[in-house]
Amino acid sequence: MTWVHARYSKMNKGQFKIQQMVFIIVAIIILFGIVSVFFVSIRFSSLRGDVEDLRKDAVLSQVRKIAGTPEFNWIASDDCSSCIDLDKVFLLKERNTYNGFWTDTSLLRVIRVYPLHENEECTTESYPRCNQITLVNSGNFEAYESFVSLCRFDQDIKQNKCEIGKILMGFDSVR
Amino acid sequence: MNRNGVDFTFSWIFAIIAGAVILGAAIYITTQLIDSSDVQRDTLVAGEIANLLNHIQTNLEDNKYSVINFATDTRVYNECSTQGVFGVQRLSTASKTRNQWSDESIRKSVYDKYLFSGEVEETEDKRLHIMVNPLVAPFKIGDIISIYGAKYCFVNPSNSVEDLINDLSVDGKQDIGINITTSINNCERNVTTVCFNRIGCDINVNTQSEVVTKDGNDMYYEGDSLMLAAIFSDYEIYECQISRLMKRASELGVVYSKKAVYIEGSGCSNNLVSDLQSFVLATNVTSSRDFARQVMPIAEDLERRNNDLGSCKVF
Repeated sequence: MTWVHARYSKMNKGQFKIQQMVFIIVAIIILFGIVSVFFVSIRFSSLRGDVEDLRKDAVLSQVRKIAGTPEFNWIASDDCSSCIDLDKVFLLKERNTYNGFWTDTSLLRVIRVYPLHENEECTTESYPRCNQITLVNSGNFEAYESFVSLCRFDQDIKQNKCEIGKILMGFDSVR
Repeated sequence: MNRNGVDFTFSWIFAIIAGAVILGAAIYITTQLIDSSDVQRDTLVAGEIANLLNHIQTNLEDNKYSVINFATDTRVYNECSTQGVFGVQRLSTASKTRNQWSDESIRKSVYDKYLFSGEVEETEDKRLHIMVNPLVAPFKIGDIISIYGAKYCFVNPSNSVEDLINDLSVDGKQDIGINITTSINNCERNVTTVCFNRIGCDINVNTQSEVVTKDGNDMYYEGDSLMLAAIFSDYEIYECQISRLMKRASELGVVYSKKAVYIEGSGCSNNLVSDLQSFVLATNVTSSRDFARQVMPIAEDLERRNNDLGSCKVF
């Protein structure tokens, strides 16, 4: 009887030690987990900021340079770096092949500043007596603009004509 | 006494195993975090390079030269694919840290840039040279962006190439990584030699038939800009980028043919519609040879006819 009691109490002590150890290990793992979560959240927030900066820089650099790209540039004049070909931009709107062509861009719109017409968005019926041509518009965006000259061949005066406008470009913020 | 011994041993074994597992996991996680932090940094560098390419694209200029300085030795991976409407340019980097190259970063995809370089371009003195020239055939199609890190020695180039190099290097005041000489013996060691109208160099250029031969492959060109691009490029990259440029030329050709119809309706006669449609069909090329032999003659004819239109120019 004495021997059985001694063995029973010895087993209890061993189990207690293992239990103690398991508690410490669990506590260490939880501590590691909390530190990891904290670390990962800090890293992800800085990564989000970096990606957002990159997208912003991409849009800012593009909005300054887009007037010189083949899809926008006005070739009839050799000395106008900020002139865009409005006819070409309007015809681009009908080309679905350009979907996704401008990376990191969630808004791309050409707006007439002066003189303004009654129609807002340009359609086949209203062009060129309209105020804006939207090439890309998807979701929320932070937008930047750049002033340009909107040039085209004018049917009424039978020569090329340029008006004041601006290009609006936006990027999708990281969610 | 014996029982105490067993108990002590078990506790220690348990503690040692658990400690080893925790320590091993911590070391593994830390290593992974360092690796992923390298990849993250290199991915941001690839994104920054893509943004830099926006800044240096041409507008009214004929040529542009720029240099990118890196904080560490860097490899730029240039991957080109012709899949999709415009094909795609993928850009990634790897950097040398702790005396070994990091893994290749996540690739940044762009659709409107055409990078001519080796498949892996490595910095020399932590910098890469960039040369940008517009491709006009017969309208501006895109910018030819040549990227190179290594040094080149041009032996007897044509006058136009020499003038171009002198312009970009501000008559030799700026190191653009290209030396011009009259004899191959004057070239420094460990530079890539380029012979014009003779053989015996790493790269040979035949200006009569407009072919650049590199590693046994012939790359066909039209104009000095594409010739330089062929010199700096790997064969596969060059052929792929030419195909991509032709895809964009095709889309632009469609837009210009619609514009030709539109301004004709506005009283601006041009008779370019059918020629532009022929140009669009011709742009469906699979090699630089087809581009030089098939597309360029049509483009030159279109350019001549468009220039005669005065204020009714389509492009």
